[in-house]
Amino acid sequence: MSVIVEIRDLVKCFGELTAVDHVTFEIERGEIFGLLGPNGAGKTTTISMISCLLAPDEGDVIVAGHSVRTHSIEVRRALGIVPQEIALYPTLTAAENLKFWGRMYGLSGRELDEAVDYGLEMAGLADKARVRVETFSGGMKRRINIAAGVLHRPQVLLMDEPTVGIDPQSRNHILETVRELNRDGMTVVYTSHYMEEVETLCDRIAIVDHGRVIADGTLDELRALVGDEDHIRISLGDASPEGSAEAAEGDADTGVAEETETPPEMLAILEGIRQVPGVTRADAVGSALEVLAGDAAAVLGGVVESIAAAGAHLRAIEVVEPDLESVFLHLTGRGLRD
Amino acid sequence: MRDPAAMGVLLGMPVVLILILGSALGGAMDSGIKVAVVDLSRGHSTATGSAKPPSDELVSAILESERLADLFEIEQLPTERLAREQVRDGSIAAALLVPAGFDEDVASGRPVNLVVLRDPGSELSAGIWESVVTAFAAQFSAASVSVQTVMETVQRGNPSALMAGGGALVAKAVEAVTSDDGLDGVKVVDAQVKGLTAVSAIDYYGLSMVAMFLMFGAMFGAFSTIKENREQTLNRMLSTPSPRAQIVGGKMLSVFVLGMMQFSVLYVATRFVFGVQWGGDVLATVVVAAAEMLAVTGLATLIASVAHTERAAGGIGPLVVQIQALIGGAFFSISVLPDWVQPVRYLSVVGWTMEAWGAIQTRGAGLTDVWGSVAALLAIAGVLFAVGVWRTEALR
Repeated sequence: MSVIVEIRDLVKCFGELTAVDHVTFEIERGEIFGLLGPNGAGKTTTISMISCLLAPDEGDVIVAGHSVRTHSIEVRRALGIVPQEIALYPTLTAAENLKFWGRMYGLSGRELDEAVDYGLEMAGLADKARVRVETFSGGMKRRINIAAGVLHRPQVLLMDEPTVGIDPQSRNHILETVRELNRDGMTVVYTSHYMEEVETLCDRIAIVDHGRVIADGTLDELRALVGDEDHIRISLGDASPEGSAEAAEGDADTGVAEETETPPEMLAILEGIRQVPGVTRADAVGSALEVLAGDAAAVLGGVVESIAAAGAHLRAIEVVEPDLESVFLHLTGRGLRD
Repeated sequence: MRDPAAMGVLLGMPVVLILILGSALGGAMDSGIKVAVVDLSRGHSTATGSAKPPSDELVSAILESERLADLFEIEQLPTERLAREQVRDGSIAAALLVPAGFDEDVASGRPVNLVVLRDPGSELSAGIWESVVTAFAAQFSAASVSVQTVMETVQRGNPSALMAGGGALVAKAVEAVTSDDGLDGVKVVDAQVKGLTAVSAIDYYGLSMVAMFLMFGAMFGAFSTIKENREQTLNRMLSTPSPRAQIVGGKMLSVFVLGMMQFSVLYVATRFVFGVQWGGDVLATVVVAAAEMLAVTGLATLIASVAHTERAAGGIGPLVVQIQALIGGAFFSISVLPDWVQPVRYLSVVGWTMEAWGAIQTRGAGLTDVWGSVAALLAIAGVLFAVGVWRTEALR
């Protein structure tokens, strides 16, 4: 496969803040590429520079052989954008919205009509073509939002958190749509804070934190970074140390967790677990605990005992395959939602 | 276009305000314009006989006219010098000088030359007075021709003709000159009505409210870019291959077109439903409206670059419109203010618009007469738009 998007040493600063700090990675033609990281990691800023909305302070982005610095119109022609917000006109109908956005991509006449029909079919809203978007459910709006980005059949589709705040049925529809577009040959760059989506959807993933790419590769390659240790995930119940559970919930819709210090009670539990022979690492991730051990079966008893000794209520405990949360934890010492 | 509330504000509100202000302030507008008459022919008349000389008849007709009394506070002054002083100091808006030799001119059928002294700061009021005087002058010309015809008939030695009908003819001519009914009969009414209705309250507020609400319309239209920025449709547009200039130009064009549609609706409604006199040059009126739209778009672009949020813009915008309307003469004629304050209207888009529309309305001005105001509006548009775009780009 050939490289279709090349990010070269990209830098973007806002005053004193370096939002994107010498980021470099490549996206190959025909793949679904995931961009994963906590809020404020620099994902949207990177996407904005790829889509020519922000000019890089340093570095360059090459899309389909064109530089954003010198050939931005060619770059924008090669791209389709699905923004995180529902960027549609609510008082226009679904068909009118698609027609408008099709025109913005230079479509007209029969080509435009066909594109609108394609978009409505793809969104599963052909029967709602003449209904105003403002009357749609969140999921329906999301689907039209995606359709508006692919009318001109772009080479690369940038999708920024496209499943935020929608019902599971619409989410499944969208994920299936992404796979379908990809099967048709479209390269997809997908950002999400839903790790499960990125894990199941993406061929390759770049993990960003504090404006830097800290790891990239396939899911297996990233999992390998954690090593072959067993991964134990522990959920604490209502009797968990005060404040920890509430702080970890954060904003359920956006996935934004509040930045809080780990409470002393939780630190005491962690300290107890770390003393259990065989445990190599223990961290708090919201109200949950993440424990790494060479042999999970050998340490479970000691871990449960230490939790009970700290006066906490154990709600669930499971041994899981290392996932992106584990990878991020391993690389940064923090949870993705911390 | 699909927002009924916005349409109500932009189209319904000005009509309602025109009606309210036109009705409520009609009395205030329709009386109290201070003018004066000076009869310089008094003492110079060579007319003989017991009949009052024409100058007396004219002055009496003006002073005693009930119809004029509804519009003017008319004072008779003894000297031209005093009249000039009062015009100069703004005590009166205008003065009519009945020149020496007026009676002879009328008697001999020569053209009547009346002089109107105008206060440049009370252009509107003085314009009305001049229109009235013009109508009277025309009336006297007609009457004097009739008189001369009768007198020539008599002088040719045909007294029986005079007995048969000449007396009635003379009486009719004199009546035409002096009576209020004669004003209607003479039918210089067109010129008179044009002048009078041009300054009726509903005519004045018809123009001023349209000028003000065009500002509201264009400003709300231009502020929509803030909403589009928040809702990300603007960013989505900017990420398409369409050139940025085309996108910005398209948005401005839509504001302009919507504004002109708003103007068209208001123009038709005020002119044909409420009978507002806009003047004869429709093209000049439309050009001024277009220039105002551009100026307001520039102003809105600047405000949007300062305000950032819809809420802030929604607060600043109407305030700016009200101030512009106030200093531009939308609520009352700026000519009532002291001379040193009056130039403040040139800081206002509404002021320039009202100046141009007022000239078209009251003086029958055309495109060539109002190009100065149009140029000023376009200059305002250019400067404000450039600064607004520069600020917006700098902040991105």
